[in-house]
Amino acid sequence: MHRLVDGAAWAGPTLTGPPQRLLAGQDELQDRRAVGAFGHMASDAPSTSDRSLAVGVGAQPTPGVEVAQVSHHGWELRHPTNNSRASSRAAAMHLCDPSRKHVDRPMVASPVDSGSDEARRQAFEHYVLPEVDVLYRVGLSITRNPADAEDLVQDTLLRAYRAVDRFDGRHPRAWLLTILRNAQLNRVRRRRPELLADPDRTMPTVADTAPGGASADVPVLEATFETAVGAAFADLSDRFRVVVEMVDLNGLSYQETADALDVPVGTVMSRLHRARRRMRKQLEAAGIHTPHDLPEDAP
Amino acid sequence: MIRRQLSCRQVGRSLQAFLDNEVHDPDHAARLQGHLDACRDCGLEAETYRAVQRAIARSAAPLDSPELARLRDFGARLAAGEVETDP
Repeated sequence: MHRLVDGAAWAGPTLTGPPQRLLAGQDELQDRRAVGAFGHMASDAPSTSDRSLAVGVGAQPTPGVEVAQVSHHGWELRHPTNNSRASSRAAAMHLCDPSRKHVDRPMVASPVDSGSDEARRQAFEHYVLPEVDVLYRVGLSITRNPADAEDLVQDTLLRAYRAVDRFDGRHPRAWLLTILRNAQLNRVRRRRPELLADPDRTMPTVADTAPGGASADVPVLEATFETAVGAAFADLSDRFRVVVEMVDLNGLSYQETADALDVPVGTVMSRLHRARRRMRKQLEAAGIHTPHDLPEDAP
Repeated sequence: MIRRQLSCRQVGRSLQAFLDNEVHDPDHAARLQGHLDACRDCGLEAETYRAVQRAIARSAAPLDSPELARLRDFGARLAAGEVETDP
């Protein structure tokens, strides 16, 4: 099912002109196609072509959020205690709280006057703001540069804001990672148009900094376990290291990692498992053994 | 029903996915866990991978960076309708 998204994402034409404006439009179209593709996953959701806010139709309400019908064709979210709209900036900042974990965040709201700014802002608050931290981590893994990651995520947030009224409410993180991936492809095309077609090259090679750090010469024999792991990790090639980062550092699932990197889930598993085996062999070769005496929460 | 025990080779094929909570068949997950509890070699193997995962997770950069703070603020301003969003 996700291949629909992937197919749309890679369906762009080769661009030769002054492309930035065109690319932006094209890329946004890809985001919309992604929405449509995810819409297919929601068998109980209405068509995304009816311009309705197809969010969470038929889904369970989010705890702590009530739904009030505001017109014959619209809904809005209301806070259960004060019955006020949760759209203030302060409330929005609260939604950025990284402790607010979720994967699937069905919002009971629909079918509405989807063009309304208020509905769009509510959907954005509900689905997007809680994922800002994860998006930044993933952006860091992909760009390997805080400033680039910030630009990438800011672009992703803008695209998500424009597209959120057509999002079906299922798997918001996967949806956002698809948008982020498209945004990153757009950035890569602007900078290095020769890297149009190969995701294995485009995604990791955006790195502004070479891995460079540790090499086989690192004196791991005298190093602590964690230092040795860090050295083995840094020795991985980009395509392997980025997958380990997505799963072990950023906490993404295999499917979410596949969405972010535009590779099949099987490829994620293969690279991840090979990368870990490689690190483990490097540790063994260096005579570093598992620190069974280290507590799990050791700093 | 008698469950066949998994071999070490079979466990090895699923071990990392199991440690990542990506084995979604509860019966298979239970058999894997049972094997890891009973087999010293596979148990140590699992512990090694867990230790590597923990070491990598602990190397994560702190998330209280100025870039992230600006992004949170940008998201909040978007949600508040304070950002021009036309492409």
